[in-house]
Amino acid sequence: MALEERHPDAERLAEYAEGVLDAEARAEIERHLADCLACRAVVMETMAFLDSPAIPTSVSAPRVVPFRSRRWVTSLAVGLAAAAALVLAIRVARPEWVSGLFGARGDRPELQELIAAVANEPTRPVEGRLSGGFKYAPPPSPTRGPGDREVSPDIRIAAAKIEKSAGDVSNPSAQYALGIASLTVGDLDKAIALLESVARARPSDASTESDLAVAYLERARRGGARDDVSRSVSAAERAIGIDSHLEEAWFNRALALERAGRPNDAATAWTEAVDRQVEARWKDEARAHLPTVKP
Amino acid sequence: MTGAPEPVEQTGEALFLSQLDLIERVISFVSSRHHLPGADADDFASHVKVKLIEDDYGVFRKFRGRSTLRTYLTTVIQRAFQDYRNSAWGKWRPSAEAVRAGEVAILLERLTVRDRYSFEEACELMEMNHQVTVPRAELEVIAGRLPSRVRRRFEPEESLADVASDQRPLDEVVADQERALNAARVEAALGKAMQALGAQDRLIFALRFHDGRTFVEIARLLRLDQKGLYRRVDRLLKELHGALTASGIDGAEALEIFKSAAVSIDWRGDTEGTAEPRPSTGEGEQEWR
Repeated sequence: MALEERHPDAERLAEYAEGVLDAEARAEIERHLADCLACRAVVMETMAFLDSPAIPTSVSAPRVVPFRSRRWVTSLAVGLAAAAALVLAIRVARPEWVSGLFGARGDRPELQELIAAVANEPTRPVEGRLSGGFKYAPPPSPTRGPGDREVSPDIRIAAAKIEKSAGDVSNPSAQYALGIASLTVGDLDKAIALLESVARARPSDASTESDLAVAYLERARRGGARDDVSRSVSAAERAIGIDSHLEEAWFNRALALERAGRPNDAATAWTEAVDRQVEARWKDEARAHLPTVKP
Repeated sequence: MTGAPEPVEQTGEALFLSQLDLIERVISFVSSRHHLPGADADDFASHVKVKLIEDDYGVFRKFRGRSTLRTYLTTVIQRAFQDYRNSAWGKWRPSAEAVRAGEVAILLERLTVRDRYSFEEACELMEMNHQVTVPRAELEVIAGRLPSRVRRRFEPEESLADVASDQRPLDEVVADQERALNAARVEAALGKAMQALGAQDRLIFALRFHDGRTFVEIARLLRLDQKGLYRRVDRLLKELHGALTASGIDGAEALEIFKSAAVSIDWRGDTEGTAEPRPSTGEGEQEWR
């Protein structure tokens, strides 16, 4: 290929923009730029950015904003109104649910970007139900083999940021966030090690036990240790023992019992899980398991 | 149990994370400069992050430290924008006039030519979706400068029955043909004169008269004294004028052709082949170091 038909690489253009090239190299770049609109635009816009006043990062703070049609706005308004009515009803009928529903989200701001990234995916990253405010999404495809799930860039970025901010991970909150992040990107051994550590440090934290149940179950699903399923059952039951209102734990316990090949127990557990799921889609998914586990 | 922290290495991922704030700022800057509406800006942000992450953070692994990482990443993201725009726009390219007139003209042309909006609709979209605050009268002037490249639309025969013939008078057609021939003659003479210039002179011309960059921008890029640049451009224009006159083209004729929206002159003397292929941000055969 003739030289003039190719383009300098990005670092060469950066060197030119910074003025660090010798005269010969500089002249070579200028010969190219004279005839190449694309590279001229790269260099000029790079210089324009470098000369621009700093743009506040809050303008584009890391966030995940999926495309939504305008109809979404109407749906949101209707949904919010319905949610407000629901919360009021819950407050009146079962006030202890309110903290269980909304408390965890406010307690874990470090997970919010990850939660937002996961919410943009067509399926959830794990078969179990994570606590902490992860939105409903269908389970990952059972037809795909273990370990072949593609992790989206947004999830990888959110997980990487959690890893960066976790620092020395001596803090249980940081360990927990990193454990969940590792779980969503498929690093299951690391996730389990971290969540086990948090569970030991916080023996009365039902959410950690429930998420640990999810992690064991996921590792079992991807061909992990033989006793992962029974560990999952135990962790979910510990979670329920700590907080019987944690709906995620009921879901995970039923799923673990089903995977453990205990159809009678699983059928009962799914019936109990259906009763405890608040959101319709989780309820529907739990209900869908009932015929499959009936002895 | 592996609760102990792992040593932090300057891997691609570590570099990526350390520069995330800069990356977000460059993305915002590019989106703003090109008037990307919210959904497109988000889409572009995702596009950039995929580029930076793919191939195991290949962009970072390729960095050799010959420039600062900040400038390097900025050039990478600027190129990623070209990739993004090419994939979004397909084969459509703005006209040379639109490029010369700047981003607003490119946007206006994109909406009216590529997306087939009427001028009025395009103005509304520019204001609503792209936060363009240019007065309507100014947009009309810009639109008047753009070459008319209206797409053909196929209408059913019955709907054409009442439509008046759009055939133009013969004298207008002949005048256009003459203008096109003259434009080709001017273009050839200009291209020849341009090729006789040095590379930096041609670059100055391209930046000033094709890209519409200011003298301040050009002087900063080329590290030239601004006053000296004015004098240099003046001298170059005189040289080109002399070359055109020597080719039998007078100033009035050239001026009429340059002003005409009906013809488009690519006066740089290069070929579309060198300007059109977009540089790749990846490991590409199109790149040289």
